[in-house]
Amino acid sequence: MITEKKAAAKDGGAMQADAHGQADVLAGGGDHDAQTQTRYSGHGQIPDVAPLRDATSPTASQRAYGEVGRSGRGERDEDASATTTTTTAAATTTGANDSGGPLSDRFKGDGTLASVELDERTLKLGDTGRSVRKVQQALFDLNYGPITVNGTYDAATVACVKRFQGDHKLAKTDGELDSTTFETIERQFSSLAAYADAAHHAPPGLQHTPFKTDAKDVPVHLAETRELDDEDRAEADIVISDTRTGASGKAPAAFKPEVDGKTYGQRVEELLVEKIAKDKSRGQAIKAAHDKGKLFTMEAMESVGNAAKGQVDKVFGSFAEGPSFEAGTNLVDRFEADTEEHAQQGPKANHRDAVRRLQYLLNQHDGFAAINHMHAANPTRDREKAILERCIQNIATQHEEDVLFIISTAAANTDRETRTVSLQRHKTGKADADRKTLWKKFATMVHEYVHVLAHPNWHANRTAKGKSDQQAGNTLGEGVPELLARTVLSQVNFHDKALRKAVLGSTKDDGEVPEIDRGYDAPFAHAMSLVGVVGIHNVYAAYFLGETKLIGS
Amino acid sequence: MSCTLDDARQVLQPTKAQTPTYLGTSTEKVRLYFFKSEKLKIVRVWVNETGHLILVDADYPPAPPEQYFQTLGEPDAHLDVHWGSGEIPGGEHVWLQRGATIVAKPEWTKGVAHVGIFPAGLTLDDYQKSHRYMKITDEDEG
Repeated sequence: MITEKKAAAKDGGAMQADAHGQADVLAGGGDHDAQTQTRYSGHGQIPDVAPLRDATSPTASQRAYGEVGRSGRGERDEDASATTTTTTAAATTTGANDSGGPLSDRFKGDGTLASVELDERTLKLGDTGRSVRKVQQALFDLNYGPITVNGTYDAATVACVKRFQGDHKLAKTDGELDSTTFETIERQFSSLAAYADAAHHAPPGLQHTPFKTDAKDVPVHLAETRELDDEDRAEADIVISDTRTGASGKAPAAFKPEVDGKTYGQRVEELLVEKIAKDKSRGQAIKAAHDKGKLFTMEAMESVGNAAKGQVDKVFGSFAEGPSFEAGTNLVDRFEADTEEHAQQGPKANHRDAVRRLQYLLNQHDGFAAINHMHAANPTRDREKAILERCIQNIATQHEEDVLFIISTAAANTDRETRTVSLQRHKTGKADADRKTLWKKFATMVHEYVHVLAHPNWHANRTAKGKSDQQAGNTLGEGVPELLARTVLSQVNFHDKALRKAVLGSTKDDGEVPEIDRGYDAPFAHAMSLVGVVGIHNVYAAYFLGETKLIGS
Repeated sequence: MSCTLDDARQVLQPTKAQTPTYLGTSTEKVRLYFFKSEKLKIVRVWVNETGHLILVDADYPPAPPEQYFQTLGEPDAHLDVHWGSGEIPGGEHVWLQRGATIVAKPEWTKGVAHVGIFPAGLTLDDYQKSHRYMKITDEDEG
């Protein structure tokens, strides 16, 4: 169902862009080797959200998907040529390539928008194409309207861009998308506050969330979502994985089994062995803490978990409800629980767990992406797949005990149906380190609680996707939850005394805003690109309400 | 089994923990309550919208698999079951007419990994749709 954005709430959106306070998102290193991480400095404030707009019924679809923009349209190197006499020539692709160029994750891979950002061209009235559609979607997600995501830079689009330019006091106010205007649009998404704001708008599908008893037998209300067409679906499918090829019309690169005297398999095995050694070393600290009794109490973890639940509920509580945590029942110590589980399992189950863990480690590891790039490898192709399976089996067999140990010392996990969370609770006993650990656990619990809120259709979809493409499955399975978790974290008021007490407990509070390292940067980036194609409301409806067709499934 | 939550409260020790959730392949709303008992650390009681119990289950019960087969006879179905990080082929044994299920398989489990009771006389489809728990976990890097 296609909706048009009403103009009424625009001013609220403009206020929010400034009022939230920007979480300082810096790529930085962390204790996950070779994985880029994002660090939050926790400067987000609790936002003044826009008032709910009238969402009584969705407006009629007005999508007129023009034929015009189809010619010369490459999926990644976008040509936004139009049929009117004001058409510009095909976009150059300087700085734009499949690896993204200068663009933020939301617009990554779009050649035309890269050109706009590099000041090589603008987008204006009459232009058409997928790049125009992405800009329209961005404005829609920023609560600008009325606007239809139709791929034609029409009068409504000009009006919205003009309003955006005025709201942000830009020098250019003619409604043409120049570099400065586009960069300003990009910046609105860097803090994720816009996504939190979007979650507060006429929350869709309240009726279909568990035990939301205030609306029975009312049709799912999906205001602010839009139907996807075939090209949307194709692009959504592309952006969730690096393994997609062919959509651009280019032949997939040929696999190079050996580069610089080393084979693909050798590199993968070396990467895994190195990762195992590092994680084992980290895990020893956790085991030592258990041996010495240096643990946060389960009650302290319960407090952290429920504090995290509270923050997630503030942003997404109208979509879905999750559990309150109770120590020892639905919140358990991961090291203890997993150690016991491995002891209760037979050898085949343990080997399977080791294999799965190695697959998981590869999917999360930037080094794996680098190896794939070096060898032009596509893990979904039969040859590469066979090599990977062999490598993983080898390493799982040789290092099974260590991998099982690593599993038991991993950060956290969540059981989908019982919604039980397993969490580590080791501490050092030193206030500075323990504070950092507690804030990190808070962020982990935000992520775990977000997992809990996913609709079963979402899980089914990500599992199905993951069978043919693990990276795609990982984007949906971890990237989107991480996007939602970071959206929540962007809204947390880390100065709030009650929150600080709930998280830090008896650990001395230094009053400082914490810096929290998050992982999952790669799947997160893909998730942002997905939002760029289908819009944040579609992602919310798919994730919380199971409307997975709205993300192209 | 046409028991309600109150029946469960008569025999099990309630805890604070509960959650709305889903069970099986259905997207119908259910609610899960956690209880404790003398012999089992945690007993889970799953309740549908009408307040009736649709599953009562627990992990790692003390009795060995043989005891279940001796008591209940030949299962009506052996199912592949997702348990933990992946499937156990043929690892779930379901007695539809008796309303019971266990997860156990040599080389995959030591003993019984899971036991559940549900309303007797269901079809296999109904059981899988609305009464079947599978242990599926999602990771977090932290």
